[in-house]
Amino acid sequence: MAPSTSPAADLAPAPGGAPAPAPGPVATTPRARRDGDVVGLGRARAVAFVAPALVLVGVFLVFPAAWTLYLGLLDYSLTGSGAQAPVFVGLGNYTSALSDPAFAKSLYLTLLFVGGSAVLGQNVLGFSLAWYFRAAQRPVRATLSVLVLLAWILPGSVVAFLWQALLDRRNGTLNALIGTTDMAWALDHPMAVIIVFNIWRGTAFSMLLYTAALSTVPRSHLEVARMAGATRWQQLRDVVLPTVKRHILTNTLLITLWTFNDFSPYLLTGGGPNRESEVLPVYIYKEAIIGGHLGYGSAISLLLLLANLVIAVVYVRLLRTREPEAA
Amino acid sequence: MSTQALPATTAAANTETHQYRHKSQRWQNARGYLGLALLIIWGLAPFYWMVVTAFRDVDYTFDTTPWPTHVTMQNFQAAFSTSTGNHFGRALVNSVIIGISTTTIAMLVGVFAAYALARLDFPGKFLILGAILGASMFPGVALVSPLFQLFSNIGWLNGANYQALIIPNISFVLPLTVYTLTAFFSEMPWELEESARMDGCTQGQAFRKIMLPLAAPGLFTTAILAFISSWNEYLLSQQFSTNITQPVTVAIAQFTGALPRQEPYTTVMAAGTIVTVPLIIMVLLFQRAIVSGLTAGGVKG
Repeated sequence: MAPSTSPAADLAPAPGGAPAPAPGPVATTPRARRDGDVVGLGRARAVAFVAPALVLVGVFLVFPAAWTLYLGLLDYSLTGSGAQAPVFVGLGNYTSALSDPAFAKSLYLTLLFVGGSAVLGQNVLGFSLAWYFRAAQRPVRATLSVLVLLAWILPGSVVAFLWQALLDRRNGTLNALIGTTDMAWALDHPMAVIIVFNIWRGTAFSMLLYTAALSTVPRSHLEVARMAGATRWQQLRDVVLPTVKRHILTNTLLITLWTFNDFSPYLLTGGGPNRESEVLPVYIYKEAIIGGHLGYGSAISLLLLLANLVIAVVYVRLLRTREPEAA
Repeated sequence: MSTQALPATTAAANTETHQYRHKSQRWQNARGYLGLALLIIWGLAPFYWMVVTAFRDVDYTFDTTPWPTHVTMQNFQAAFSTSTGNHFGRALVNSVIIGISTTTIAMLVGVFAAYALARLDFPGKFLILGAILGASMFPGVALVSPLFQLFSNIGWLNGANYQALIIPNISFVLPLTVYTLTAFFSEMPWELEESARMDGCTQGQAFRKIMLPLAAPGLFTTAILAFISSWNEYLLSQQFSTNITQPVTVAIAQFTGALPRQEPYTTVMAAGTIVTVPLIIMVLLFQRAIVSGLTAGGVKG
């Protein structure tokens, strides 16, 4: 049995606050039980166990992220006067970002990218695949998961190159296949290209998660619905969807954040032509690393972090309000 | 199978269901194979094209014959050749070094943290888990500037400073490692350690002799995912690597260069084939383990 399907250990914080005590016959000393220390690990040792992980994540992940807050307030750059003595510019970077049409455009493109490729594309395609193949034979399902995993697991720089060869203007495979000549896909339809690319790459996760989720829908419920004459669509809507609602939310959150932060469009289109596919991570990269405006880039990075936070908070709220129904 | 879940009814009803099932089952299989065929084309076409081109003579780079023609091994020799300034061979070794170091350290640190988080309730536990999960959502590009500043201040951005690549990789894979491992450990009944201790084991022995062997599949899965994620990291490596420490993802992207029209297509395809082969083998061998690791955290959320 795959560990993923067992509901025994729910890691999400329960809305009530306190986690449920370990079930089953208990033979530990009362004190250890009261402390929730079921194996007698001891508090000191637990702290020692967790500390290295927290330190690593803290120093190299949380601290740099917090540092962007500071950098974003400086006129800090790799070249010019900002490199010698960065000047404190307060919210200057933020105001110039918000008044920069390129930023607004990038934000719009990001929303388009996330909405099209993750929220709609990966989500719907992933669920459809999981639903479509739910009763398929084992070899079929194994082949399918190998396929989607491959697209997901290969290095972005290799995969992007594959797609460049596929879409190449003069000699691309796609042009050869459908008989068009001189169709510059990446130049004429850059957003469509990166959206399709990201759907192709990222559907694996959604599909696998939904496959696991669908296996938690009790068969008896479906049988009852079928006996009562429910059509397949009604079964899906009234039996399956309510059961897997939490999974849908979790999946949507994860793929939204991943896509939001995804840098691989840069490898495919370089943000171009003429910034037509410059999603926010690419915009930040171009400003901060290529343009050398580290301060400005940091300010936008912080806006990106905040956007992530907002998405996460909205998700947690959705999850909470639906909790009573799901339980 | 679903038929087993059906309550036993009258014989007539059974036969009817059976016939209905038989027909719909066959139809479903046919549909399934058709859908699968379409998906194979959609999913495999780019890979297939990569391999075909990798083995094709450079003079026939743009041949559109859909099967291998003008087969040659020259592209693979060219990929490893250092005469044009590429260091693909060294980059491969670097990726292995970085991947193995990242995986080993992340697993060592992660196993301890996850074990404590799974086995001990203490105040702020869910806060820590939440913070760790939140940290895994950080956009990589937001960390480039601050880490660049930090690393250049401590002089890590030149020479053979592998740690400039390994440490960010660790902090990127650690959150998901801890999260997934916590999920795996939580699922194992804690009575296991308790009975081990009653039989005279210390906590350390109970963990080493009972928990670790039992958790091995979960550890293995997590390690594979950590290795793959490190192997594929591009953005930070591209910033923090030098000619000496450059990993394959960066080396290949530099093959491709800024002028797409003058690219050595066949050589890059050969290099890409070499980089992807270990991953393809991993997926084929460990498909089930990878899937269970990927969905372990998500399904419970």
